[in-house]
Amino acid sequence: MAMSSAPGFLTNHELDRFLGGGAAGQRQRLRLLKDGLLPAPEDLGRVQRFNIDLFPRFALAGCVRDLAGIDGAIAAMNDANLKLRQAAAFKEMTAAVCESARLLAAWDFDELIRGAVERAGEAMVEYDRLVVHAERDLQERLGIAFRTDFGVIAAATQAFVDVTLHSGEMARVPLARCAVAAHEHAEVALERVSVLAKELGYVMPVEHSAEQDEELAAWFSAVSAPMRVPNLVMSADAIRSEPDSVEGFPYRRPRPRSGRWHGASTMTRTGIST
Amino acid sequence: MFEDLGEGPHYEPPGEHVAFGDVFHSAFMRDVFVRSDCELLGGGPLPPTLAPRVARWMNHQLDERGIDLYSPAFTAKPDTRWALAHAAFKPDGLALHAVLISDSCLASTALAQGRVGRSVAGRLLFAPLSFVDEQKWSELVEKEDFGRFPLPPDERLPDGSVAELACCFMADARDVKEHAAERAVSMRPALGEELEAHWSAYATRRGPRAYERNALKLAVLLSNGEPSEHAVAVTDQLAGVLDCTWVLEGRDLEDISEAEEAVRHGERQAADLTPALVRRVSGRLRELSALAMAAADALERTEK
Repeated sequence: MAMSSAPGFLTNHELDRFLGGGAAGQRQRLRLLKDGLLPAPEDLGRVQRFNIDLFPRFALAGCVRDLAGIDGAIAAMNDANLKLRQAAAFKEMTAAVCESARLLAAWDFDELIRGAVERAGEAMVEYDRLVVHAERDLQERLGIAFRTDFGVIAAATQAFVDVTLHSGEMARVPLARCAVAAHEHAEVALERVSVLAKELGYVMPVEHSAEQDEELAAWFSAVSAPMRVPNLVMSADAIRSEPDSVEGFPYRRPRPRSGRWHGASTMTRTGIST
Repeated sequence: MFEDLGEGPHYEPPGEHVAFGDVFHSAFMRDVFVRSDCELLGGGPLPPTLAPRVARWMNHQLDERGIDLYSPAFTAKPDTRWALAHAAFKPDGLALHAVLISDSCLASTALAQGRVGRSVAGRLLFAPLSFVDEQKWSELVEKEDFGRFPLPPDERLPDGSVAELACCFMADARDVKEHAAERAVSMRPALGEELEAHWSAYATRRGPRAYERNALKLAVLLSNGEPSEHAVAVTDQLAGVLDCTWVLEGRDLEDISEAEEAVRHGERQAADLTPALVRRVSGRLRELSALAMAAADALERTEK
């Protein structure tokens, strides 16, 4: 299972925020739906206090109205969406999303994703994989582009969030297009959607498997544990493998020999040659 | 060993130029070697923005440098040439001492010391120092082990220092040049000669230390066991012949080499230098001939 990925879906709550927020955002989303620019959502109904509609991630392309100018775009998105909704992973994922939403006191997409990953991590990853596949297909058929980059929030103001991507690039995104709490150092995914000449970026949460986080933490803990050196000799200052003593030559000279080879060192020579 | 070394001092402050026998004390001087698990590594510095998360996993506080991640799973790049190797190191990971084993002429070329129009390039060979107790150090002096050279004590070196000639590693000349100030001591010529003879014995099984031992083995054969005074005296004559060849090769012919270079570079005239060199070499050859004849006679007498 991949360690982290971007969620393959978003809900009506994120879309409303991206489209201006509040009642205006909701009206805009409904207008896009009516115009067929958004694929038909999966209606999860009312969960706790929230009405939840699930959209595949590529619905973000519909937020760019220029999509209407591409022949067959709407039909292609709906076809892709239909296929996704038939996948077993989708059903498992929606159940996990409902479970996760029931625990939310206020809408928090990041928390929703975290809860869904805890309940159906494998299905989430499988669904994400299918969405990536569908996005590639749409890219080939329609000439639109989807790209996911990972990074961390470097700074957040009332208007923008600055994201430092792992590539080193810095991206500035309007706060309205940020679906996570804009805390500095928070890990995020930057979804970039290009339709014709227009590109929009959206800041989304990152899916982490808590279980794998724990495994990873354990691994790092093991490799950073104090050194143990079996079969090595620790002398006063250094560690080295103490070699077996060389095969001893059993005889000794009866007296030292004073050789006449001294004063012939080539090593003190620093002449010109190479 | 060290019969002719005298009392010292055996070391001096590092000279301007890096030379054979210089002892470095530098953080990058690692006793590195490869095993069959050696693989090329890709990767590199993790962006500082991500390092804190990795640090949390590692239960470490990382400084501003962040952390580097390397793996054979990442694509290896020819410009960095990282590879997985092994190293012997101190438990505290502190800097290592190592002695330069590449000869001074090669070091000067690699480090562009006194070389006009040359750039710093190549690699230099180092023997790491290990540190043994007094008893082991004395044992290494008493019973020669060609792979290990015990260094005479000095306050600037850790006690019981031993140059591990059997664990040599190479360092890039560019980094040696950059860290040339991180030398603890330079060897004085007499100690440098001892190290050279020891190194020759280890690396090529030739030179004074190797032939002295082999001559003693002949004395063992002649005595059919514990070498007698007489047998040792005979075989010492054989070693004396080889002393003469060592001087002929290492001093006389090297001086000729230097003279030729001086002539080639227009610094001296051949006519000024050659006669004296010829006289010296011919004299050495006659000395060698006389020593060889005497040694042969002495050996032949053992058969009677």
